[in-house]
Amino acid sequence: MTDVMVSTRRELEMLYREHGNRLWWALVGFSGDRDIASDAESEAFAQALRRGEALRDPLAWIWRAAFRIAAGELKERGRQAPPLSEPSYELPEPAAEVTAALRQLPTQQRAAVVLHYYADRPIREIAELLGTSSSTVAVHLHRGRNRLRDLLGDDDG
Amino acid sequence: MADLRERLRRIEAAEAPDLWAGIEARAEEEGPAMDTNVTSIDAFRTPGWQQRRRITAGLVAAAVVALTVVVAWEAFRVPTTVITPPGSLPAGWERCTNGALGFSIGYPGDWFTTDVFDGRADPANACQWFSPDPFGPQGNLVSEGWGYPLEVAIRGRFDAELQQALDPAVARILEQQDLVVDGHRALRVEYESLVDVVADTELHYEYVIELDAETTLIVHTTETRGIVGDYQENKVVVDEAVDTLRLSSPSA
Repeated sequence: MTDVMVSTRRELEMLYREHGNRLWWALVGFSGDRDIASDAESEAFAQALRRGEALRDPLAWIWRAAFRIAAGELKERGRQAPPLSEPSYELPEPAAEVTAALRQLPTQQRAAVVLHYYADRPIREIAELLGTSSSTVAVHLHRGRNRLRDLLGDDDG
Repeated sequence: MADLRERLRRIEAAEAPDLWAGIEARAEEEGPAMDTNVTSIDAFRTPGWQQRRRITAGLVAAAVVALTVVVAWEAFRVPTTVITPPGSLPAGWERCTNGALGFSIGYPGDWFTTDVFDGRADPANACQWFSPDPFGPQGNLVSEGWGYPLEVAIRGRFDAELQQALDPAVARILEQQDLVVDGHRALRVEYESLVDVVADTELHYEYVIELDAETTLIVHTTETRGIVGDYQENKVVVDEAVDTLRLSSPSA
C-alpha cells in the first residue's frame, strides 16, 4: 500500500468517525431500516476508499452515494411507502415515533426533510442529490414540515 | 410543536454501530465498482452531478468568520427602509404567480419565463427565471446559480443566507441596506464575488427576502456569465420587480 493510499484511508476514517453517526441515523430516518442504513453507509465509504484521491469532496460524495444506494435498496424491496403497521425495528422512543412519522412521507419529501432538517444539508445540495430544482425541494420541505406537524403533534418536551 | 430540527435529532436513540472494520474489508473486495453516479431510481436521477460546481465546502470553511461579520453588520447597518408593493405593475409588465411557494412577482412583459428545469416542468419552479430571450423546450439549462438577468432563487433560513451573502471570504460588500418587503424582513446587497468559478471577480446585486421561517427568496442579477443585457439596466429591473412582489403563505 502506498503512502498516498494510507493517507487517504486515514482521512476517510477520520471522516467516518466524525460524520458516520449522523449519516447512519439520517439513513435510518430515510429508509426506516437499520440494515439498509448500515449497508448503504458501508458501501458508500467502501466506494470512496476504492476511489481514493479521485474524490474532490469525499464527504459530499459519500452522502450522495449513501442516499442513492439506500433509495435503490428501498425500491428493490418495493418498500418506498412502507405500511403504517410496520415495526420500528425495535428503536426506542422517541426515535420510533419519529421514524414512524417519516415513513408516512413520500420518498422525495422524506429525503428532503431528513437531509435538511436533520443533516443540515443546504437546499441547493439536496436539489442536486434529488436531481431537481431548489424550489421543488423547498416545496417538499414545506409540505413535509406540515405533514410531520400533523403526525407528531405538539410537543413541548 | 418543538422545532422540527430538534424533534428529528431525537432519532439518535443511541450510537450508530461501528462499521469501519467492515468498510475496510468491503473496500478490499474484488469486483466492479458500483455505479453510484446514475441509478435507475427515479427520485435520484442526476446525470452529470459530479461535474456540478462545488463551492459549498469553501463556504462552510468560512462560516465562523461570517458569523462575526454579521454581528458587526448588525451594529453598523443603516436604518431600515420599508418597501410596500403598490399592487400595480409598471406599464408593459406582467405578473407571474408561484402558488406552490406563495409569491408573485412582476417582470417586463416582453421577457420570457419558464417552469421547466432540465426538461421537466414543475409548478414549484414558476416565476424564477426571466430573460429577454425565449427558453427552449428544456427550459432552464444553466442549472441553478445565476444564469438569467432577473432570477428568483429559493434558499433556506434567512439568517443562514445572510451569513453566506456577507461572508468576507467569498464576497466584498459594496452596498447593503435593511428593508421590509411586503411585511417581510429583507436585505438589499451589492457585492463583488471573490471566489467565482467563472470569472476572477464579478458584481452581484440582490434582495434577500425572508419568505417564511425556513425559506428565503433571493431576487438577483449579476454582471457576467453571459447574462443578457446591461448590468445597470438589469439592476433597475430587479428593483422594479421587487416593488411588485407579493408574498403569502405557500399552498399546502
